[in-house]
Amino acid sequence: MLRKLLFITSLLLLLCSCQESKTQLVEDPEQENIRALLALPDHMPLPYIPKYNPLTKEKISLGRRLFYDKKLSANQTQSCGSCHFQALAFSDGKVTPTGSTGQLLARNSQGLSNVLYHTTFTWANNTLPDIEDQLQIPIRADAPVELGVTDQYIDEVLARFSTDPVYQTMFAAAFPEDGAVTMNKIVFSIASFVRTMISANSPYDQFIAGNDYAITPAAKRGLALFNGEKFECFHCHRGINFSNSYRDINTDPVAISFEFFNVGLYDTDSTGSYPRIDQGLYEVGFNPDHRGMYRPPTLRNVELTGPYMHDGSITNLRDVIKHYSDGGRNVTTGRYVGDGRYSPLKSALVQPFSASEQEIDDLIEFLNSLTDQDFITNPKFSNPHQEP
Amino acid sequence: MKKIILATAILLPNIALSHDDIADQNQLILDTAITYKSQENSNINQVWKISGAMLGQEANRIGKGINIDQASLYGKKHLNDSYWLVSQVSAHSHSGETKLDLEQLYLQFSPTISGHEFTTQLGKIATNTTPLANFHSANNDFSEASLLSDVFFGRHSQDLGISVRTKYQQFSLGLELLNGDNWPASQGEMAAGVYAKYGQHIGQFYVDVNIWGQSNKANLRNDARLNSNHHSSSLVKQINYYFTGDTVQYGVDAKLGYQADDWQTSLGLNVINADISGKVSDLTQSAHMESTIIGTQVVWQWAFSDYQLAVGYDLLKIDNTFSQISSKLLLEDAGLLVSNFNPNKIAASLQYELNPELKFRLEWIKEQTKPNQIDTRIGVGVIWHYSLL
Repeated sequence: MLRKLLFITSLLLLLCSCQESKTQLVEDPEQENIRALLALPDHMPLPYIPKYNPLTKEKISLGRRLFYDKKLSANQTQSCGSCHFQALAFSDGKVTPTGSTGQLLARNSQGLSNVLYHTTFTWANNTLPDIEDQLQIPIRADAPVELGVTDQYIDEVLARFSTDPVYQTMFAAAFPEDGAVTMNKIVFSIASFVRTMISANSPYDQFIAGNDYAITPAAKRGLALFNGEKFECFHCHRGINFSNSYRDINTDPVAISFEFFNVGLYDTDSTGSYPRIDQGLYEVGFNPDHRGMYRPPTLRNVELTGPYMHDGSITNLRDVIKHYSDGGRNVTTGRYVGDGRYSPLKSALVQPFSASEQEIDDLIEFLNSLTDQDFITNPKFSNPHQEP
Repeated sequence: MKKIILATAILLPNIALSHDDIADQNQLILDTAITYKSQENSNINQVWKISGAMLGQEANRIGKGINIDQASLYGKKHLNDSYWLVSQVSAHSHSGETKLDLEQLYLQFSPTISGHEFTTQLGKIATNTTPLANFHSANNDFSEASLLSDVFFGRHSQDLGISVRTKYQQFSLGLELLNGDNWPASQGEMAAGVYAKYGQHIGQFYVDVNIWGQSNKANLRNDARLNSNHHSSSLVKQINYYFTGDTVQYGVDAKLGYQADDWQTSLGLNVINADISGKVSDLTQSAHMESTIIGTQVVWQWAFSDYQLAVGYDLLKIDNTFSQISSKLLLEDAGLLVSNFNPNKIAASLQYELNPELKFRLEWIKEQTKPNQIDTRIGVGVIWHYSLL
């Protein structure tokens, strides 16, 4: 009996092994809907979308219009688009921007490529897990003032939209349960639009999709350096979005790593301090060990998003690379004299190394291959107020 | 005498047990196999992959040129009436590097309970579930491991733990509890195995049958071959992905042998089924995975005079289902997508035994582990067994 059973089992398994192997990819309808709404290429991960703000095309349309509408600032002189230009991958090309009331900000305008994959937002704030949280800052904050919609002006600003027939229709479509205009809905809509800013068709993307000629031999050398044990860029700028501030639909929140680093830009007092105007993550929790810590941004479209660092203090990519090859920056003149290379708070990942000019050229060539022309020219991200 | 030795070599070892069940005396045995291969099956800068399957442990590429397939020293020492100390140290070369491993180090004793002797091994042991779990070139028809050894066991399966077996008539029953250090488990996550072996002489025929099962848990198990791939200068950092989940595998080994007056032949069939359930991930992306892999191996041997001819065929069927996928890129980079293709390998070898200690081996191997790539190579090697005591 046992022998018969063994024989039958073996035969069944043998017969099964003669059929061809197969792979099944199962996506649920909700995930397929998100892919369609975002026009997400296959190689890009499904992003995390908070359940309290599901993605719809109506919200995206409304958010796009609001993003570029100067009526959103208290004095109607600025919109989000005033500091985030599509041609510059939604950065602004300035060291730091100026708010709607003329106040100079301390931090550089980040590009908005693939922001939906970050785990936190702004340069250094670990209390802002969603884009919706971050948007409150440029719209509502008073120190510094960006769009300046403080409590004093909020009713006036909301009234501009609630009395506009176009916006009345769009708010009703985006929020059918209640078409009234509220700041929350403005934030939810802009967040939905910003989530669609997917940059995924650079030459590098084409290369990893299988086109071996999509990037130059120099860029391939640069890629090897990027991922190599000398330059080690991948330690902080890793993965599909070139930042270890990363979250997708599958990321376990518990497993998200601490994503802030001190890269040795300053050491004004030999204890690791940065300029008082901006000490990074320290500003949030006042933990002295967090001075000078900032979140690594994505490197997608980095060719376009200079000047670099949180304060725009490095003007070009070559100098950025040299900063890292020096193991930090020694400031010898001006207000912030100090040697960041020896900062006690500098990340252990930032160590000096020798880099030839050829290697730097190759690395820059690779970084330039992350520029996505589709992204910076795609009409779906452009200013609808300027459309004929 | 040679024919008797060769006949024993064919009919016994593949399903029968390791050195320690054959001889009841102190042993110190040196086994060496060195082979020249005409071609490699993977670039020196890349780890070898089988489309659709996760690999790791010692499932290394075949290098072109001369390779030390095995250089092992096995020792068994009788400590007193009740205890044996067994140890095995082995060296294997791959990608130009030679690695030394302590494969086994255990205490063996055989308490008698209710009239049954229970042979117990405690320490670092080689699993006895199936011979496919521990490939050794010097004791095999071929210089290379089968695809089944690589996919299901990482080529060698040794682990810290305890093994207990007992014999009842023609049956041998065994149970193993292991730490999980070996593929497809991960350290500390535990693995367990059971087996039942049956052997019977029927006239000039000999039948061996073994059924076995193994359960393995893994937590963030990665491909250890990537950690040791120092030669890599690949353009894209070779993805090191992790698996967390369960692998339950079971199988049947069967062998039928026939001994005539001046020749012997045997036909062996090994079938393994593995059910894999868990999550595969890299540093940023992940996907849930349900996989069934069926591996089949058929080996025919024919020994005559001082020669032995063997032909073996391996076939894998891999069915993977992924859900909650961050992106397909993770699965593509990990080589886990496979469609309408069954990895396979066929090998033929001719061994000539110059004397009981020295054999020569000539092989032809054809392997297809990726859809559009067939690797063919010739192997010429020597096998040396030497008892130092």
